[in-house]
Amino acid sequence: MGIIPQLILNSIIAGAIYSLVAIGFSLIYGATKFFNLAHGVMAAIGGYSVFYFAKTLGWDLWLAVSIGMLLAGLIGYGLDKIIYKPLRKRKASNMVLLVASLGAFTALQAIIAILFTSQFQTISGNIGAQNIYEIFGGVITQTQLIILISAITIMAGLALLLKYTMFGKAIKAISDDEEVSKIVGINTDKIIGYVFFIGSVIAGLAGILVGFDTGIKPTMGLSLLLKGVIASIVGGIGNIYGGVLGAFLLGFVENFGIWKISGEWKDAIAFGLLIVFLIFRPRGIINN
Amino acid sequence: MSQTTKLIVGVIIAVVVVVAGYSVIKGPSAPEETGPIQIGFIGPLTGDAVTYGEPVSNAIKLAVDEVNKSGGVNGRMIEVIYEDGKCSGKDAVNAAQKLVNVDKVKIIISLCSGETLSILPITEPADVLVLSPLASSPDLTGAGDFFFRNNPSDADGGKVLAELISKKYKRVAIISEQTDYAQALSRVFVKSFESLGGEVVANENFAPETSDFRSMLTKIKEENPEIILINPQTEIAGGTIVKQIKELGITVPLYGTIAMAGSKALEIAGTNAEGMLLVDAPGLSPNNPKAVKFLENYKAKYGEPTLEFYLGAAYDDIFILAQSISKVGTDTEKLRDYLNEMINYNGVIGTYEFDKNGDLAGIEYVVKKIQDGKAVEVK
Repeated sequence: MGIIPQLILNSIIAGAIYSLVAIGFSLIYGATKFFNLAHGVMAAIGGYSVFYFAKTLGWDLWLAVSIGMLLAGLIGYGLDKIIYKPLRKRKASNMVLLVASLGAFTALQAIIAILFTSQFQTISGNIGAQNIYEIFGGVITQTQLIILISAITIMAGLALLLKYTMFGKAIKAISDDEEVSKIVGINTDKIIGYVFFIGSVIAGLAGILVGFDTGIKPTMGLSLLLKGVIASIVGGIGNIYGGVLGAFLLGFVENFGIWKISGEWKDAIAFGLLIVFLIFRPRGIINN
Repeated sequence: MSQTTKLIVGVIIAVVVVVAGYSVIKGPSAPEETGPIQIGFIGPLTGDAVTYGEPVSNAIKLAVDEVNKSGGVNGRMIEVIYEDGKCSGKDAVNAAQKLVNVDKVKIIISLCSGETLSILPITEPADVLVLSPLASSPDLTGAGDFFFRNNPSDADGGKVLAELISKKYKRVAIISEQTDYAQALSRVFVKSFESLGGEVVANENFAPETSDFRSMLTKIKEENPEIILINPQTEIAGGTIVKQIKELGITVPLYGTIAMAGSKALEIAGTNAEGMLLVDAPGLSPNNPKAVKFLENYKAKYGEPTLEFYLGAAYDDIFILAQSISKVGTDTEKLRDYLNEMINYNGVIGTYEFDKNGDLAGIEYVVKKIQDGKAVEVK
């Protein structure tokens, strides 16, 4: 059967993880128009919550996962209320917001490292005893299957939410023009707060899933964020469907790119893709 | 500029002038023979390689405490300045610049091969003595007059691995991390293995901090090697590779390097690592009372020890330094000559000395097997 089915599966799994980060990032960018770098650390918060509640305290796994997502969401919401909202009120430029988010990212990451040390931790208890499924000549583990299913569920759920609810329409309105949205009576601060909450919950879930698949460390957010940002830009920044497309494209290009050359060039390939898009199609696959 | 700002700037300038003037009058504070003896430490305190940096720095703290409690060296206490080298050349160079130029230390303990290789161009011209309990890169052999290490060179490790594997297998795959240490080991292994008539059918490399090895391993699987040799810098990469090998349904026997014996690597790999063979420095001998006492004290203070050879080597480094300084003082040229002539040092990791290149002589690599989640020496 050859190598291709497995490479396709690897690409899809990588794409699913990237897409979870990219969706939240794009959602927040769409509403606020700034690069929220602190988005990356939400993944670490999710992962470490599960590590703490499920592994250290021995609570129920599903409960720990829920707390992890909720906590990531609340911290994302808190960052908006405490840092970004006052800055927006003062008409701070997007550059200022970006630097503020970088500060929040670094500080939160440091807090995690202080609480849990910089050591790499595993959160899946039954390593070595995972179920493995064979699909079209490739193999996929149970954890990876869960990653894939979660990613698809979240994407579908979010798409429905954005399309069919007033809330979704409000987000779209804010993305188009925040000032006008305010004039027509949308409480933009409230909606943006919710956007931060939802985006951060999804990032927290991404961190939890990555934790189950490989493991967690305080600095895990940065590499996830970078891939999420590349996926968002490639797909069309601010557009969550674009983010998903970009994420899967990135997954495929990365994994097929190292078919014939050595694996050390994986990141170079990812950034190469970014550069190609920035030069030839700067507004991404889905051209807004 | 408002009045207040001017005032503040004025005060700052005044303070700077006074402090600078004071230090000029006082002259360089170089050879204080009464204060503590300062030793620099460069090792990974963050990042994936922290699994080495943290326990090794604990072993050093233990040794320093013991020396200081017994009255120090010639009445002077030992003080260690810890800097984070992140197992990377770039960060190690920054740390070394600070230690050599700002703190003016004359002795540095450096951990990873990559860190050590990059700091020698700074330390050698400044006559700074560098000891390493971890660095095993063959490129470090004879790399500097003031450099000594009590960890075996991979020029031997790579050969031992090649000989071990070539006895049974002809077609192997190797996956290595892109670091000075792992690349040098890979080079030695491939050369020795091919000269023994073997064939390396896949030679994959990955960047540090990688966590998804699936496509590299898929490529390796496609080449049908008889075994896979896992050659990571960090335990985390090593454990993750073993886990993902099994997840991809690859069933060939696995071989590994020293990192695979670490407790973090075995925690991540879980039962997947059972039966894996690796070449490692020998464990600490239960017949060596010094080693037994060291392990007891370490356990009492920091919990279950991991990679005990590294810990023992780092602990020994402090005592070797204490012994040398008590004999010849802190002049690094005299210390260098003393270490070159030192024979049969009786330490935690065994009885050994440094050869003319500053390499470890007297202790050799052994073969270990992973059994019940532990690396056990096999004959």
